[in-house]
Amino acid sequence: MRVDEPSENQGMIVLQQQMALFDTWVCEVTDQDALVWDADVAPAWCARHLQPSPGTTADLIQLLPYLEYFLTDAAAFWNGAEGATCQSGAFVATDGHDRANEWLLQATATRLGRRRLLYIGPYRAGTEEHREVMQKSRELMLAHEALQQKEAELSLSEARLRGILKVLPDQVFVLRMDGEVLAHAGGPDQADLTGLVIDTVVPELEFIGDTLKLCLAEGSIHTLTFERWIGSAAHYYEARFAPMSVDQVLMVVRDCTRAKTIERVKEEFLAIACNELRAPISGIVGVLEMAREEGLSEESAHWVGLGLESANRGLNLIHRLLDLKRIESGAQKFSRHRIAADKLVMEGLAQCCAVAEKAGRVIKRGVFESGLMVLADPDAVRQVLVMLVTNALKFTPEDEPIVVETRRWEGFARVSICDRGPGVRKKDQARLFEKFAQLEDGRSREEGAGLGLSIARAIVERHQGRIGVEADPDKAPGSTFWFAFPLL
Amino acid sequence: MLQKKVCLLGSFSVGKTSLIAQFVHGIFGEKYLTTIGVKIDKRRVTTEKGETTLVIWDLNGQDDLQKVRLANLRGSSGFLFVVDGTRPATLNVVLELDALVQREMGALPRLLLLNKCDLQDEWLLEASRVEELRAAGWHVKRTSAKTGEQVAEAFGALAEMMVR
Repeated sequence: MRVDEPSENQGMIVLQQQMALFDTWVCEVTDQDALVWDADVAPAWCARHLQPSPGTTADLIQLLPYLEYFLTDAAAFWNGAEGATCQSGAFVATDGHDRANEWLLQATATRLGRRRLLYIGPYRAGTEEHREVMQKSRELMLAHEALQQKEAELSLSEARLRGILKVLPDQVFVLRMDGEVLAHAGGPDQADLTGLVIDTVVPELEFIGDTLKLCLAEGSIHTLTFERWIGSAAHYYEARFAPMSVDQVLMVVRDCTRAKTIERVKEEFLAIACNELRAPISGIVGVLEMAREEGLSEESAHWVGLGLESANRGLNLIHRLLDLKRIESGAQKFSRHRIAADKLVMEGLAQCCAVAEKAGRVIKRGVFESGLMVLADPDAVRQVLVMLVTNALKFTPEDEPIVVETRRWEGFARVSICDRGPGVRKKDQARLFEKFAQLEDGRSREEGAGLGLSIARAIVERHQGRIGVEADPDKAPGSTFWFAFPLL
Repeated sequence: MLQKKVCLLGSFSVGKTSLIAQFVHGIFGEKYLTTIGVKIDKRRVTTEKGETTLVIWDLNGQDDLQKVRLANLRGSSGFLFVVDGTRPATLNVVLELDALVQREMGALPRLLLLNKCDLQDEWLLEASRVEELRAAGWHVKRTSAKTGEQVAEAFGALAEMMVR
């Protein structure tokens, strides 16, 4: 026979405490025929009459013989419908020594959920007080069981979440707005860093304070990247910040070293491949050019011309790839001149106008704010402008002009090129500047290698500038490509 | 509450990780709990300026001049340079590391720990050499990560120097 420890059953203890206020003693009759009660909450009569410690049904019957018959009747109710009660008649309890220590008691058996409960209290048969006591105990037990179920659900949910975090390679931090680590998880093992300021854990993230503020103010996700040396190897990490509440931010740190390594290997392979291909294709171009000058028949000249065109396209692609690689790797050096943005753009436009005129298009000047001084390589800026204008020329209908303007914009000098082409869908706008971006409408591959915008972005980023496109084809035709350099 | 980043620097196998394990967890041995690839531990200490949390970085694998990455030292308020008293050559590494740190980060609070003082029979670092270091301005403590001797005192002394 097993006797449960009362401490294992908080619900019963609460119920017993409450029932003690009504001078009523309550215990649970378990499958093992055991009784449970708490010595600390026994009513006065019980404490004196029953030894207030855990015991069995047999112990109880020995103290209150009347209950032997009552418990036989009660069994039917315990196995019956929820909430049904069985009430005994009055019986006397005495300690057998002194008639002054006699009590007129009554027992009630009832079932609440899986629990079989036995109440023993002063005889109150049929009184309002008795009904109140029973109702109160029922409410208490149901509320407690609902709470227990919620706790179990929460505990399961938390265990699931912890399990997920444990297998994830990412490390997750909950940060307060001032940067204090409130909680963290992720990865197989972690030191306890709660309470630390995140600067002491990730000092590489110089702008983390600003990022937390921005993240909470805008309610948007922000990303920072950093490099950390572990042993003798550099590891690359990406930290993503998402707002959780008014003053808490979730920071997820992901190790991107593998992806970065793959990217580097890919870039190196591309550079080697381009270098290796450049020489033979240059050779082909040279030979075909020589052949064309050799007085070929019309048909042969046609085929040689096609060959030459293809070879030149291939060579152009290789040169552009190598340009891009040089800019991205930092090998391409840019000069830095203090120069007025409007003047620089005007010079670039002169070059573009010639191309536009040849294509039968018109370039119009919009607003040209003067006095916007930037530090830039003039040739590089012109290159970006020409690329964007050439791009616009490809997609603008013949009778529509392209408008170029230069304005001040949030600490930048922004140059905009507005066309009246088909526009770029929102979902494609971010990918447009990626290498060989293939959009659904085929825009990027209509002509060229699809590298112009990537080169433009690389140049602008090397100048700590920004580049982008604004368009909403569902509302209006056209796109505005823009780039911006920091103002001095 | 004040939080101070502390880095332990020294040659391989001088006992950096064990010193941290002894100070933070009260055990001798290597405890590898990492955060974003780095072993970071914390412990609260009481200084004359009040409570301070030491955020202790164990730069495992960055054991000599060539391997120490200055980026990992960023934000440090003090350093514990660790020498193995049974390997006098580890002192030379520490002196080089100290010169590098001073050059790149300026004069920050630092302490020199002569570790493994429980190995008296194997101790080779001469007392005269230690006196020279003291005369040169080093705060020196003989520690044992194994027995815990002077470990808490060393971290405590550095904490006091950092909050001053």
